[in-house]
Amino acid sequence: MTGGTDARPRASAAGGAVPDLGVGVGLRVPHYRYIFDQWPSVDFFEIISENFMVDGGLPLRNLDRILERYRVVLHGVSLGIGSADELDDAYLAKLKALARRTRTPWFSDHLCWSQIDGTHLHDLLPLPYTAEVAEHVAERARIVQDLVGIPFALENLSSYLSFRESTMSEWDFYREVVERAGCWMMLDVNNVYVSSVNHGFDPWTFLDAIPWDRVIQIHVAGHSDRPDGTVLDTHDQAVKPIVWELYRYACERTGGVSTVLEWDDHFVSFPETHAEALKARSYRDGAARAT
Amino acid sequence: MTVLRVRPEARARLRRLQRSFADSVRTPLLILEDGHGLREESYDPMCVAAIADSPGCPGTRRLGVYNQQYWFRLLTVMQQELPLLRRLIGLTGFNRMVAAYLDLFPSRDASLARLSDRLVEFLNGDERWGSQLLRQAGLLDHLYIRAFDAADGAPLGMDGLSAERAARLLAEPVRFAPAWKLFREDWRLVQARLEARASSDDDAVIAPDPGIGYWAIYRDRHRGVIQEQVDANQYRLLALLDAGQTLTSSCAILAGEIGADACRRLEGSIGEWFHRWARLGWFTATA
Repeated sequence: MTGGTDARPRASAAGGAVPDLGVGVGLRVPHYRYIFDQWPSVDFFEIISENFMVDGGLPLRNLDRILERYRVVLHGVSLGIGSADELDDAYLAKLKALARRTRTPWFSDHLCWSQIDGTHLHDLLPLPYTAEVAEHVAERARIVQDLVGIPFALENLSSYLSFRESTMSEWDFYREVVERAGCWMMLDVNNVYVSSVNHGFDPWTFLDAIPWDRVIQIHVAGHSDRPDGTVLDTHDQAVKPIVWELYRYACERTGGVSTVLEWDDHFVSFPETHAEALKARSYRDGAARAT
Repeated sequence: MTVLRVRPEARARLRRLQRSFADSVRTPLLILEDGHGLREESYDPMCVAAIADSPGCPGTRRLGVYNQQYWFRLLTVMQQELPLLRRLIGLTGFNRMVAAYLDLFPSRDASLARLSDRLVEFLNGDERWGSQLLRQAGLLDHLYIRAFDAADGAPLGMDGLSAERAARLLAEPVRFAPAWKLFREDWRLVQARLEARASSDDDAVIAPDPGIGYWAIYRDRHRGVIQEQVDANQYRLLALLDAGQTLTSSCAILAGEIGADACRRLEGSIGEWFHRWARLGWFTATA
Protein backbone atom coordinates (compact mmCIF):
# COMPACT_ATOMS: atom_id res chain seq x y z
CA MET A 1 0.00 0.00 0.00
CA THR A 2 1.24 3.47 -0.81
CA GLY A 3 1.17 6.06 1.93
CA GLY A 4 0.19 5.25 5.45
CA THR A 5 2.43 4.81 8.40
CA ASP A 6 5.96 3.53 8.51
CA ALA A 7 6.11 3.94 12.24
CA ARG A 8 8.03 1.13 13.85
CA PRO A 9 6.44 -0.67 16.76
CA ARG A 10 7.27 1.30 19.85
CA ALA A 11 6.58 1.02 23.49
CA SER A 12 3.33 2.71 24.26
CA ALA A 13 3.42 6.00 26.08
CA ALA A 14 2.08 7.00 29.45
CA GLY A 15 2.11 3.59 31.02
CA GLY A 16 0.24 1.97 28.16
CA ALA A 17 -2.63 4.44 28.06
CA VAL A 18 -2.10 5.21 24.40
CA PRO A 19 0.14 4.04 21.55
CA ASP A 20 3.18 5.98 20.39
CA LEU A 21 2.27 6.88 16.82
CA GLY A 22 5.62 8.39 15.86
CA VAL A 23 6.01 11.77 14.17
CA GLY A 24 2.99 13.31 12.48
CA VAL A 25 1.90 16.48 10.80
CA GLY A 26 -1.13 18.71 11.27
CA LEU A 27 -3.37 18.04 8.25
CA ARG A 28 -4.07 21.30 6.38
CA VAL A 29 -6.05 22.06 3.23
CA PRO A 30 -3.14 23.48 1.14
CA HIS A 31 -1.48 20.04 1.33
CA TYR A 32 -4.48 17.96 0.26
CA ARG A 33 -3.59 17.92 -3.41
CA TYR A 34 -0.08 16.63 -2.76
CA ILE A 35 -1.24 14.05 -0.23
CA PHE A 36 -4.01 12.72 -2.47
CA ASP A 37 -1.69 12.58 -5.47
CA GLN A 38 1.39 11.15 -3.79
CA TRP A 39 0.11 9.38 -0.66
CA PRO A 40 3.38 10.12 1.16
CA SER A 41 4.55 7.90 3.95
CA VAL A 42 3.54 9.69 7.15
CA ASP A 43 3.31 8.16 10.62
CA PHE A 44 0.00 9.89 11.33
CA PHE A 45 -1.98 13.07 10.86
CA GLU A 46 -3.53 15.33 13.46
CA ILE A 47 -6.76 17.02 12.38
CA ILE A 48 -8.52 20.06 13.78
CA SER A 49 -11.70 18.46 15.13
CA GLU A 50 -14.01 21.39 14.40
CA ASN A 51 -13.15 21.35 10.70
CA PHE A 52 -14.77 17.93 10.45
CA MET A 53 -17.66 18.28 12.91
CA VAL A 54 -19.92 19.03 9.96
CA ASP A 55 -22.94 17.37 8.41
CA GLY A 56 -21.37 16.31 5.10
CA GLY A 57 -19.68 17.50 1.94
CA LEU A 58 -16.04 17.76 0.98
CA PRO A 59 -14.53 17.90 4.49
CA LEU A 60 -15.88 14.46 5.41
CA ARG A 61 -15.13 13.02 1.98
CA ASN A 62 -11.51 14.14 2.30
CA LEU A 63 -11.33 12.84 5.84
CA ASP A 64 -12.59 9.43 4.78
CA ARG A 65 -9.92 9.29 2.07
CA ILE A 66 -7.26 10.10 4.68
CA LEU A 67 -8.65 7.48 7.06
CA GLU A 68 -8.31 4.79 4.39
CA ARG A 69 -4.53 5.11 4.60
CA TYR A 70 -3.44 6.93 7.75
CA ARG A 71 -3.87 7.02 11.48
CA VAL A 72 -5.54 10.22 12.64
CA VAL A 73 -5.73 11.93 16.03
CA LEU A 74 -8.14 14.71 16.96
CA HIS A 75 -7.08 18.12 18.19
CA GLY A 76 -9.77 20.67 19.08
CA VAL A 77 -9.70 24.44 19.36
CA SER A 78 -13.22 25.30 20.53
CA LEU A 79 -14.13 23.09 23.47
CA GLY A 80 -13.49 25.95 25.89
CA ILE A 81 -12.80 23.68 28.84
CA GLY A 82 -12.22 26.68 31.10
CA SER A 83 -15.35 28.61 30.21
CA ALA A 84 -17.85 29.56 32.93
CA ASP A 85 -20.61 28.48 30.50
CA GLU A 86 -22.16 25.04 30.70
CA LEU A 87 -20.50 22.38 28.59
CA ASP A 88 -22.00 22.37 25.11
CA ASP A 89 -23.84 19.03 24.75
CA ALA A 90 -24.30 19.40 21.00
CA TYR A 91 -20.60 20.09 20.51
CA LEU A 92 -19.66 17.08 22.62
CA ALA A 93 -22.04 14.82 20.71
CA LYS A 94 -20.41 15.83 17.44
CA LEU A 95 -16.96 15.37 18.93
CA LYS A 96 -17.83 11.89 20.12
CA ALA A 97 -19.20 10.97 16.70
CA LEU A 98 -16.01 12.21 15.06
CA ALA A 99 -13.90 10.25 17.51
CA ARG A 100 -15.77 7.12 16.52
CA ARG A 101 -15.48 7.88 12.82
CA THR A 102 -11.72 8.43 13.03
CA ARG A 103 -10.99 5.77 15.67
CA THR A 104 -8.64 8.28 17.28
CA PRO A 105 -6.78 6.74 20.23
CA TRP A 106 -7.08 10.03 22.15
CA PHE A 107 -8.27 13.60 21.64
CA SER A 108 -6.91 16.89 22.81
CA ASP A 109 -7.88 20.53 23.29
CA HIS A 110 -6.45 23.57 25.03
CA LEU A 111 -6.31 24.60 28.66
CA CYS A 112 -8.18 27.81 28.01
CA TRP A 113 -11.61 29.33 27.51
CA SER A 114 -13.12 30.48 24.21
CA GLN A 115 -16.74 31.39 24.82
CA ILE A 116 -18.91 33.07 27.39
CA ASP A 117 -22.69 33.56 27.50
CA GLY A 118 -22.85 31.54 24.28
CA THR A 119 -20.66 33.98 22.36
CA HIS A 120 -17.62 32.38 20.75
CA LEU A 121 -14.45 34.42 20.51
CA HIS A 122 -12.60 31.85 18.36
CA ASP A 123 -9.39 32.26 20.29
CA LEU A 124 -7.54 30.38 23.01
CA LEU A 125 -7.91 32.69 25.99
CA PRO A 126 -5.97 32.50 29.26
CA LEU A 127 -7.39 31.64 32.66
CA PRO A 128 -6.49 32.93 36.11
CA TYR A 129 -4.30 30.32 37.75
CA THR A 130 -6.08 29.69 41.05
CA ALA A 131 -7.10 26.56 42.92
CA GLU A 132 -10.80 27.18 42.39
CA VAL A 133 -10.39 27.65 38.63
CA ALA A 134 -8.26 24.50 38.52
CA GLU A 135 -11.08 22.64 40.24
CA HIS A 136 -13.62 24.06 37.81
CA VAL A 137 -11.58 23.02 34.77
CA ALA A 138 -10.70 19.61 36.20
CA GLU A 139 -14.34 18.72 36.81
CA ARG A 140 -15.25 19.60 33.27
CA ALA A 141 -12.26 17.75 31.84
CA ARG A 142 -13.25 14.63 33.73
CA ILE A 143 -16.81 14.86 32.40
CA VAL A 144 -15.59 15.35 28.84
CA GLN A 145 -13.18 12.41 29.05
CA ASP A 146 -15.87 10.15 30.49
CA LEU A 147 -18.38 11.20 27.88
CA VAL A 148 -16.14 10.70 24.84
CA GLY A 149 -14.77 7.51 26.33
CA ILE A 150 -11.11 7.78 25.29
CA PRO A 151 -8.11 9.55 26.84
CA PHE A 152 -8.39 13.33 26.80
CA ALA A 153 -5.25 15.44 26.75
CA LEU A 154 -5.04 19.13 27.61
CA GLU A 155 -2.55 21.37 25.84
CA ASN A 156 -0.68 24.10 27.67
CA LEU A 157 -1.42 27.51 26.24
CA SER A 158 0.73 30.13 24.61
CA SER A 159 -0.48 33.34 26.21
CA TYR A 160 0.20 37.05 26.13
CA LEU A 161 -1.13 38.16 29.48
CA SER A 162 -1.67 36.94 33.02
CA PHE A 163 -4.11 37.87 35.76
CA ARG A 164 -3.36 39.61 39.04
CA GLU A 165 -5.52 37.10 40.91
CA SER A 166 -3.36 34.14 39.87
CA THR A 167 -1.88 32.40 42.87
CA MET A 168 -0.16 29.52 41.06
CA SER A 169 2.43 29.23 38.33
CA GLU A 170 1.17 28.05 34.96
CA TRP A 171 2.95 24.71 35.34
CA ASP A 172 1.48 24.09 38.80
CA PHE A 173 -1.97 24.96 37.47
CA TYR A 174 -1.52 22.66 34.46
CA ARG A 175 -0.43 19.75 36.64
CA GLU A 176 -3.18 20.41 39.16
CA VAL A 177 -5.89 20.30 36.51
CA VAL A 178 -4.60 17.17 34.80
CA GLU A 179 -4.04 15.23 38.01
CA ARG A 180 -7.40 16.23 39.49
CA ALA A 181 -9.19 15.34 36.26
CA GLY A 182 -7.34 12.10 35.66
CA CYS A 183 -6.70 13.22 32.12
CA TRP A 184 -3.49 13.66 30.11
CA MET A 185 -1.08 16.24 28.81
CA MET A 186 -0.54 17.34 25.26
CA LEU A 187 2.63 19.29 25.85
CA ASP A 188 3.36 22.06 23.35
CA VAL A 189 7.02 22.91 23.81
CA ASN A 190 6.72 25.93 21.50
CA ASN A 191 3.97 27.27 23.73
CA VAL A 192 6.19 26.77 26.76
CA TYR A 193 8.83 28.93 25.10
CA VAL A 194 6.37 31.59 23.84
CA SER A 195 4.80 32.01 27.28
CA SER A 196 8.17 31.94 29.02
CA VAL A 197 9.27 35.02 27.07
CA ASN A 198 5.95 36.81 27.37
CA HIS A 199 5.71 36.23 31.11
CA GLY A 200 9.38 36.20 32.03
CA PHE A 201 9.75 32.69 33.42
CA ASP A 202 12.34 29.99 32.80
CA PRO A 203 11.05 27.39 30.31
CA TRP A 204 13.20 24.70 31.88
CA THR A 205 11.50 25.30 35.21
CA PHE A 206 8.19 24.68 33.47
CA LEU A 207 9.44 21.40 31.99
CA ASP A 208 10.94 20.23 35.26
CA ALA A 209 7.50 20.48 36.87
CA ILE A 210 5.82 18.27 34.27
CA PRO A 211 4.60 14.84 35.45
CA TRP A 212 6.04 13.07 32.40
CA ASP A 213 3.99 9.93 32.77
CA ARG A 214 0.96 12.11 31.93
CA VAL A 215 2.34 13.33 28.58
CA ILE A 216 0.84 11.44 25.65
CA GLN A 217 1.60 13.82 22.81
CA ILE A 218 3.93 16.73 22.05
CA HIS A 219 3.50 19.68 19.67
CA VAL A 220 6.30 21.58 18.00
CA ALA A 221 5.80 24.71 15.90
CA GLY A 222 7.34 27.98 14.77
CA HIS A 223 6.76 31.36 16.38
CA SER A 224 7.33 35.04 15.59
CA ASP A 225 9.09 37.76 17.56
CA ARG A 226 7.46 41.21 17.59
CA PRO A 227 9.53 44.37 17.85
CA ASP A 228 8.01 45.13 21.26
CA GLY A 229 9.43 41.87 22.64
CA THR A 230 6.17 39.90 22.58
CA VAL A 231 6.48 36.44 21.04
CA LEU A 232 3.49 35.26 19.00
CA ASP A 233 2.51 31.62 18.50
CA THR A 234 2.09 32.00 14.74
CA HIS A 235 2.82 28.48 13.41
CA ASP A 236 4.07 30.10 10.23
CA GLN A 237 7.70 29.05 9.98
CA ALA A 238 10.21 26.37 10.90
CA VAL A 239 10.72 25.34 14.51
CA LYS A 240 13.38 27.48 16.18
CA PRO A 241 16.49 25.90 17.76
CA ILE A 242 15.48 26.79 21.32
CA VAL A 243 12.20 24.93 20.82
CA TRP A 244 14.02 21.87 19.50
CA GLU A 245 16.20 22.00 22.62
CA LEU A 246 13.08 21.96 24.79
CA TYR A 247 11.77 19.10 22.68
CA ARG A 248 15.02 17.18 23.14
CA TYR A 249 14.62 17.50 26.90
CA ALA A 250 10.99 16.35 26.70
CA CYS A 251 12.10 13.29 24.69
CA GLU A 252 14.74 12.46 27.27
CA ARG A 253 12.14 12.60 30.00
CA THR A 254 9.38 10.71 28.17
CA GLY A 255 11.48 8.34 26.09
CA GLY A 256 9.60 9.72 23.09
CA VAL A 257 5.87 10.13 22.59
CA SER A 258 3.69 10.89 19.56
CA THR A 259 4.79 14.24 18.15
CA VAL A 260 3.09 16.62 15.72
CA LEU A 261 4.41 19.63 13.83
CA GLU A 262 1.82 22.40 13.52
CA TRP A 263 2.20 24.73 10.53
CA ASP A 264 -0.82 26.98 9.90
CA ASP A 265 0.23 30.01 7.87
CA HIS A 266 2.76 31.00 5.18
CA PHE A 267 2.56 27.40 4.07
CA VAL A 268 5.44 25.61 2.42
CA SER A 269 5.13 22.40 0.38
CA PHE A 270 4.09 19.21 2.10
CA PRO A 271 7.53 17.57 1.63
CA GLU A 272 9.16 20.61 3.27
CA THR A 273 6.63 20.57 6.10
CA HIS A 274 7.08 16.85 6.63
CA ALA A 275 10.87 17.18 6.53
CA GLU A 276 10.64 19.79 9.29
CA ALA A 277 8.50 17.43 11.35
CA LEU A 278 10.88 14.54 10.81
CA LYS A 279 13.68 16.46 12.52
CA ALA A 280 11.88 15.30 15.65
CA ARG A 281 12.91 11.72 14.91
CA SER A 282 16.57 12.37 15.66
CA TYR A 283 15.69 13.69 19.11
CA ARG A 284 13.32 10.79 19.75
CA ASP A 285 15.88 8.27 18.57
CA GLY A 286 18.58 9.91 20.68
CA ALA A 287 16.38 9.66 23.74
CA ALA A 288 15.55 6.03 22.94
CA ARG A 289 19.25 5.17 22.67
CA ALA A 290 19.95 6.89 25.97
CA THR A 291 17.36 4.71 27.69
CA MET B 1 -25.82 14.41 34.46
CA THR B 2 -22.74 14.84 36.61
CA VAL B 3 -23.19 17.44 39.34
CA LEU B 4 -20.43 20.04 39.46
CA ARG B 5 -18.84 20.47 42.86
CA VAL B 6 -17.29 23.84 42.17
CA ARG B 7 -18.73 26.53 44.41
CA PRO B 8 -21.28 28.72 42.59
CA GLU B 9 -19.62 31.92 43.73
CA ALA B 10 -16.31 30.78 42.24
CA ARG B 11 -18.00 30.12 38.95
CA ALA B 12 -19.81 33.46 39.08
CA ARG B 13 -16.49 35.22 39.67
CA LEU B 14 -14.97 33.47 36.68
CA ARG B 15 -18.01 34.40 34.58
CA ARG B 16 -17.66 38.09 35.46
CA LEU B 17 -14.01 38.07 34.48
CA GLN B 18 -14.67 36.25 31.21
CA ARG B 19 -17.54 38.60 30.31
CA SER B 20 -15.35 41.59 30.91
CA PHE B 21 -12.52 40.03 28.90
CA ALA B 22 -14.88 39.16 26.04
CA ASP B 23 -16.25 42.72 25.92
CA SER B 24 -12.70 44.04 25.66
CA VAL B 25 -11.59 41.53 23.02
CA ARG B 26 -14.66 42.39 20.93
CA THR B 27 -13.97 46.14 21.08
CA PRO B 28 -14.23 47.25 17.43
CA LEU B 29 -11.04 48.25 15.66
CA LEU B 30 -10.71 51.66 14.05
CA ILE B 31 -10.85 50.57 10.43
CA LEU B 32 -9.07 53.14 8.29
CA GLU B 33 -8.35 53.31 4.57
CA ASP B 34 -4.69 52.57 5.19
CA GLY B 35 -4.85 50.19 8.13
CA HIS B 36 -6.43 49.93 11.52
CA GLY B 37 -6.10 51.14 15.06
CA LEU B 38 -6.95 49.83 18.51
CA ARG B 39 -9.34 51.58 20.89
CA GLU B 40 -7.54 50.62 24.07
CA GLU B 41 -9.37 53.36 25.97
CA SER B 42 -12.62 51.42 25.35
CA TYR B 43 -11.51 48.22 27.06
CA ASP B 44 -13.62 47.23 30.05
CA PRO B 45 -11.97 48.81 33.15
CA MET B 46 -12.65 45.65 35.17
CA CYS B 47 -10.68 43.59 32.66
CA VAL B 48 -7.83 46.10 32.51
CA ALA B 49 -7.61 46.10 36.30
CA ALA B 50 -7.51 42.30 36.38
CA ILE B 51 -4.50 41.99 34.07
CA ALA B 52 -1.00 41.92 35.46
CA ASP B 53 1.67 43.98 33.75
CA SER B 54 4.13 41.78 31.87
CA PRO B 55 7.89 42.35 31.60
CA GLY B 56 8.36 45.61 29.72
CA CYS B 57 4.77 45.73 28.58
CA PRO B 58 1.63 47.13 30.23
CA GLY B 59 -1.29 44.73 30.50
CA THR B 60 -3.46 46.87 28.25
CA ARG B 61 -1.09 46.39 25.33
CA ARG B 62 -1.18 42.64 25.81
CA LEU B 63 -4.98 42.79 25.84
CA GLY B 64 -4.62 44.58 22.52
CA VAL B 65 -2.93 41.46 21.09
CA TYR B 66 -6.12 39.49 21.73
CA ASN B 67 -8.33 42.33 20.50
CA GLN B 68 -6.36 42.49 17.27
CA GLN B 69 -6.22 38.71 16.83
CA TYR B 70 -9.98 38.45 17.28
CA TRP B 71 -10.74 40.92 14.53
CA PHE B 72 -8.03 39.76 12.13
CA ARG B 73 -9.17 36.18 12.39
CA LEU B 74 -12.86 36.94 11.87
CA LEU B 75 -12.33 39.53 9.15
CA THR B 76 -10.03 37.16 7.27
CA VAL B 77 -12.55 34.34 7.42
CA MET B 78 -15.37 36.60 6.24
CA GLN B 79 -13.24 38.01 3.40
CA GLN B 80 -12.61 34.46 2.19
CA GLU B 81 -16.15 33.22 2.64
CA LEU B 82 -17.94 36.23 1.14
CA PRO B 83 -15.93 37.03 -2.00
CA LEU B 84 -18.83 38.67 -3.82
CA LEU B 85 -19.81 41.05 -1.05
CA ARG B 86 -16.17 41.94 -0.52
CA ARG B 87 -15.70 42.87 -4.18
CA LEU B 88 -18.96 44.79 -4.37
CA ILE B 89 -18.19 46.92 -1.33
CA GLY B 90 -14.39 47.12 -1.44
CA LEU B 91 -12.09 45.87 1.30
CA THR B 92 -12.28 48.79 3.74
CA GLY B 93 -16.04 49.09 3.47
CA PHE B 94 -16.40 45.33 3.71
CA ASN B 95 -14.36 45.24 6.92
CA ARG B 96 -16.54 47.98 8.39
CA MET B 97 -19.68 46.12 7.38
CA VAL B 98 -18.40 42.88 8.96
CA ALA B 99 -17.45 44.73 12.14
CA ALA B 100 -20.97 46.20 12.35
CA TYR B 101 -22.49 42.76 11.68
CA LEU B 102 -20.40 40.93 14.28
CA ASP B 103 -21.02 43.65 16.80
CA LEU B 104 -24.75 43.04 16.43
CA PHE B 105 -24.57 39.28 15.81
CA PRO B 106 -21.47 37.84 17.49
CA SER B 107 -20.55 34.25 16.74
CA ARG B 108 -22.77 31.72 18.52
CA ASP B 109 -21.15 28.58 17.13
CA ALA B 110 -17.86 26.82 17.75
CA SER B 111 -17.23 26.69 14.00
CA LEU B 112 -15.92 29.68 12.09
CA ALA B 113 -17.89 28.37 9.11
CA ARG B 114 -21.08 29.51 10.86
CA LEU B 115 -19.92 33.12 11.25
CA SER B 116 -22.14 34.44 8.48
CA ASP B 117 -25.29 32.57 9.55
CA ARG B 118 -27.19 35.78 10.35
CA LEU B 119 -25.62 38.04 7.77
CA VAL B 120 -28.69 38.12 5.51
CA GLU B 121 -30.82 39.04 8.51
CA PHE B 122 -28.36 41.82 9.31
CA LEU B 123 -28.37 43.14 5.75
CA ASN B 124 -32.17 43.05 5.62
CA GLY B 125 -32.36 45.27 8.66
CA ASP B 126 -29.46 47.62 8.09
CA GLU B 127 -29.88 51.00 6.42
CA ARG B 128 -26.26 51.49 5.43
CA TRP B 129 -25.48 48.06 4.04
CA GLY B 130 -28.97 46.81 3.24
CA SER B 131 -29.38 47.76 -0.42
CA GLN B 132 -31.15 45.19 -2.57
CA LEU B 133 -27.91 44.49 -4.42
CA LEU B 134 -25.96 43.76 -1.23
CA ARG B 135 -28.82 41.71 0.24
CA GLN B 136 -28.89 39.50 -2.83
CA ALA B 137 -25.10 39.24 -2.88
CA GLY B 138 -24.99 38.34 0.79
CA LEU B 139 -27.62 35.67 0.26
CA LEU B 140 -25.70 34.20 -2.67
CA ASP B 141 -22.41 34.05 -0.76
CA HIS B 142 -24.27 32.47 2.14
CA LEU B 143 -25.85 29.78 -0.08
CA TYR B 144 -22.41 28.69 -1.23
CA ILE B 145 -21.18 28.53 2.36
CA ARG B 146 -24.14 26.44 3.50
CA ALA B 147 -23.92 24.10 0.51
CA PHE B 148 -20.27 23.33 1.22
CA ASP B 149 -20.77 21.14 4.27
CA ALA B 150 -24.50 20.46 4.29
CA ALA B 151 -25.52 16.86 4.94
CA ASP B 152 -25.08 14.28 2.22
CA GLY B 153 -28.24 12.58 1.08
CA ALA B 154 -28.72 9.40 -0.94
CA PRO B 155 -29.61 10.64 -4.43
CA LEU B 156 -32.99 9.77 -5.84
CA GLY B 157 -32.46 6.99 -8.40
CA MET B 158 -34.66 7.31 -11.46
CA ASP B 159 -33.54 4.17 -13.30
CA GLY B 160 -35.85 1.18 -13.26
CA LEU B 161 -38.60 2.89 -11.31
CA SER B 162 -41.59 0.67 -10.71
CA ALA B 163 -44.99 2.00 -11.74
CA GLU B 164 -45.98 2.21 -8.11
CA ARG B 165 -42.84 4.20 -7.23
CA ALA B 166 -43.34 6.56 -10.19
CA ALA B 167 -46.91 7.19 -9.12
CA ARG B 168 -45.74 7.99 -5.60
CA LEU B 169 -43.17 10.45 -6.95
CA LEU B 170 -45.96 12.35 -8.66
CA ALA B 171 -48.18 12.39 -5.61
CA GLU B 172 -45.71 12.99 -2.75
CA PRO B 173 -43.63 16.04 -1.92
CA VAL B 174 -40.14 15.86 -3.37
CA ARG B 175 -37.22 15.89 -0.97
CA PHE B 176 -34.34 18.10 -2.08
CA ALA B 177 -30.70 17.46 -1.25
CA PRO B 178 -29.72 19.53 1.82
CA ALA B 179 -26.99 21.30 -0.18
CA TRP B 180 -29.39 22.37 -2.94
CA LYS B 181 -30.85 25.89 -3.01
CA LEU B 182 -32.61 28.11 -5.56
CA PHE B 183 -31.45 31.64 -6.23
CA ARG B 184 -33.05 34.48 -8.23
CA GLU B 185 -30.86 37.45 -9.17
CA ASP B 186 -31.59 40.95 -10.46
CA TRP B 187 -27.94 41.55 -11.33
CA ARG B 188 -25.46 39.11 -12.86
CA LEU B 189 -24.27 38.13 -9.42
CA VAL B 190 -23.47 34.46 -9.94
CA GLN B 191 -21.15 35.32 -12.80
CA ALA B 192 -19.66 38.19 -10.82
CA ARG B 193 -18.98 35.85 -7.91
CA LEU B 194 -17.24 33.33 -10.15
CA GLU B 195 -15.08 36.11 -11.56
CA ALA B 196 -14.35 37.51 -8.11
CA ARG B 197 -13.10 34.13 -6.94
CA ALA B 198 -10.94 33.66 -10.02
CA SER B 199 -9.44 37.15 -9.88
CA SER B 200 -6.14 37.84 -8.16
CA ASP B 201 -6.97 41.53 -7.78
CA ASP B 202 -8.68 41.44 -4.42
CA ASP B 203 -8.99 45.18 -4.07
CA ALA B 204 -10.81 45.98 -7.31
CA VAL B 205 -14.44 46.94 -6.73
CA ILE B 206 -16.87 45.42 -9.21
CA ALA B 207 -20.29 46.59 -10.44
CA PRO B 208 -22.31 43.75 -11.96
CA ASP B 209 -24.67 44.41 -14.86
CA PRO B 210 -28.42 44.31 -14.19
CA GLY B 211 -30.17 41.21 -15.45
CA ILE B 212 -32.65 38.71 -14.06
CA GLY B 213 -31.35 35.18 -13.72
CA TYR B 214 -32.43 31.93 -12.05
CA TRP B 215 -29.99 29.44 -10.57
CA ALA B 216 -29.71 26.29 -8.58
CA ILE B 217 -26.70 26.18 -6.23
CA TYR B 218 -25.76 22.60 -5.34
CA ARG B 219 -22.97 20.10 -4.80
CA ASP B 220 -21.73 17.83 -7.56
CA ARG B 221 -20.79 14.20 -7.04
CA HIS B 222 -17.24 15.26 -6.09
CA ARG B 223 -18.77 17.42 -3.32
CA GLY B 224 -17.75 20.66 -5.02
CA VAL B 225 -20.29 23.50 -4.84
CA ILE B 226 -21.43 24.52 -8.32
CA GLN B 227 -24.34 26.28 -9.98
CA GLU B 228 -26.67 25.64 -12.89
CA GLN B 229 -28.81 28.22 -14.62
CA VAL B 230 -32.51 27.42 -15.06
CA ASP B 231 -35.21 29.29 -16.94
CA ALA B 232 -38.16 31.09 -15.43
CA ASN B 233 -40.57 28.15 -15.74
CA GLN B 234 -38.06 25.71 -14.33
CA TYR B 235 -37.40 28.11 -11.46
CA ARG B 236 -41.10 28.39 -10.70
CA LEU B 237 -41.57 24.64 -10.81
CA LEU B 238 -38.57 24.05 -8.55
CA ALA B 239 -39.75 26.75 -6.16
CA LEU B 240 -43.17 25.06 -5.89
CA LEU B 241 -41.58 21.68 -5.29
CA ASP B 242 -39.22 23.19 -2.72
CA ALA B 243 -42.24 24.71 -0.95
CA GLY B 244 -43.69 21.22 -0.48
CA GLN B 245 -46.03 20.92 -3.45
CA THR B 246 -46.16 17.55 -5.20
CA LEU B 247 -45.02 17.29 -8.79
CA THR B 248 -48.64 16.93 -9.90
CA SER B 249 -49.85 19.96 -7.99
CA SER B 250 -46.81 22.02 -9.01
CA CYS B 251 -47.56 21.35 -12.66
CA ALA B 252 -51.18 22.33 -12.14
CA ILE B 253 -50.21 25.61 -10.45
CA LEU B 254 -47.69 26.37 -13.17
CA ALA B 255 -50.30 25.69 -15.83
CA GLY B 256 -52.65 28.13 -14.15
CA GLU B 257 -49.95 30.79 -14.14
CA ILE B 258 -48.58 30.51 -17.65
CA GLY B 259 -51.75 29.50 -19.50
CA ALA B 260 -52.88 26.29 -21.11
CA ASP B 261 -51.09 26.78 -24.43
CA ALA B 262 -47.74 27.46 -22.85
CA CYS B 263 -48.26 24.59 -20.50
CA ARG B 264 -49.02 22.19 -23.35
CA ARG B 265 -45.70 23.18 -24.94
CA LEU B 266 -43.92 22.32 -21.71
CA GLU B 267 -45.64 19.00 -21.10
CA GLY B 268 -42.98 16.94 -22.81
CA SER B 269 -40.18 18.86 -21.16
CA ILE B 270 -41.11 18.57 -17.52
CA GLY B 271 -40.38 14.86 -17.36
CA GLU B 272 -37.00 15.42 -18.99
CA TRP B 273 -36.24 18.25 -16.57
CA PHE B 274 -37.11 16.11 -13.61
CA HIS B 275 -34.95 13.21 -14.78
CA ARG B 276 -32.02 15.56 -15.44
CA TRP B 277 -32.33 17.21 -12.03
CA ALA B 278 -32.46 13.81 -10.39
CA ARG B 279 -29.29 12.78 -12.25
CA LEU B 280 -27.59 15.94 -10.99
CA GLY B 281 -28.39 14.83 -7.45
CA TRP B 282 -30.84 17.62 -6.64
CA PHE B 283 -33.33 15.19 -5.07
CA THR B 284 -32.76 12.68 -2.33
CA ALA B 285 -34.41 9.33 -2.00
CA THR B 286 -37.55 9.27 0.08
CA ALA B 287 -38.33 6.47 2.51
